[in-house]
Amino acid sequence: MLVAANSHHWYQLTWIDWITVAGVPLALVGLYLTWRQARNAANSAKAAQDAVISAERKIRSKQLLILIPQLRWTVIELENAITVSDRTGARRQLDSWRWQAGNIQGILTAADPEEIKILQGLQKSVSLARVAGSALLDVQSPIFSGCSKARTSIVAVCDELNTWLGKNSTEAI
Amino acid sequence: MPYVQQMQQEMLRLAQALLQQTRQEKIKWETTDNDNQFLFSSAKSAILIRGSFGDYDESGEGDFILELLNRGGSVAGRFEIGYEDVESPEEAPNYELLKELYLEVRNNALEIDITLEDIHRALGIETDSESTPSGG
Repeated sequence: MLVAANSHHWYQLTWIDWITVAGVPLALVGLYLTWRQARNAANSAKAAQDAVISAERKIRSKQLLILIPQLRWTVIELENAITVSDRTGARRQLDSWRWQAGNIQGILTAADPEEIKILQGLQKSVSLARVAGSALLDVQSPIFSGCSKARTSIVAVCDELNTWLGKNSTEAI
Repeated sequence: MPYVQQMQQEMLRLAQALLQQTRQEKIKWETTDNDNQFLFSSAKSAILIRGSFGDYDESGEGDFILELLNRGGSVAGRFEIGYEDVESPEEAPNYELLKELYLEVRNNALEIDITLEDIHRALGIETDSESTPSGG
């Protein structure tokens, strides 16, 4: 009985009640606008971060552009040394590769998945170059089979580097 | 020389981790231009293991070298052990560790188990696991 006596119909609402009711959709609109603003800010921050990553990658690719001709030259000289059975020449080029690949590893970053793949290829080639260089010290060992795996991995990582460089040096900032 | 001792301990710790991960096939070793040497490469470091047999009267015993290479391919750490070191009680477990690691690594790099299994299947030869009675 008490409940029934205290209940109101909608047409019995006061003007203050109506203002409260109207405030609910306004609050929802406000909430939506805040969310949209926050999302735009996050998108802008992400875009800025992407731009920084892209610019850094571009700088690294420019640095590598200077080193690539030297790498290619080393590969050609190594192949020439193998062809003419020049043991000393092959060892010299393998040492040169180790030194140059070490420089490139310093430029590339281990944070980028594509660059990690190249870094692993470079590390493999450097380690195989070391094994081959030691094997070539034995004057009885054949030159070609003594550095065949090292040569293959050097050529493979050179190709990977070229592909990465081609992709990153032509992308617009 | 405490530094050398620390490095030896670090190399042994690496050997244990490598043995475990090689057994679990979490890492893949590669062959090199030296038939007795195998390589595991990371992004800026690598591990080389070398084994040589035939220097002792006891068959299956040899010398083993584990090397940690830096990004330029230079040796940053090295652990070397031979069968003659087994006489020392402190070195005997280390010898067993490196020997076991070398054999696991060789199997991993050359895929010996998989290759044998395949050729057995091709020739219709029963493998050890198939020919062993399963009991019951």
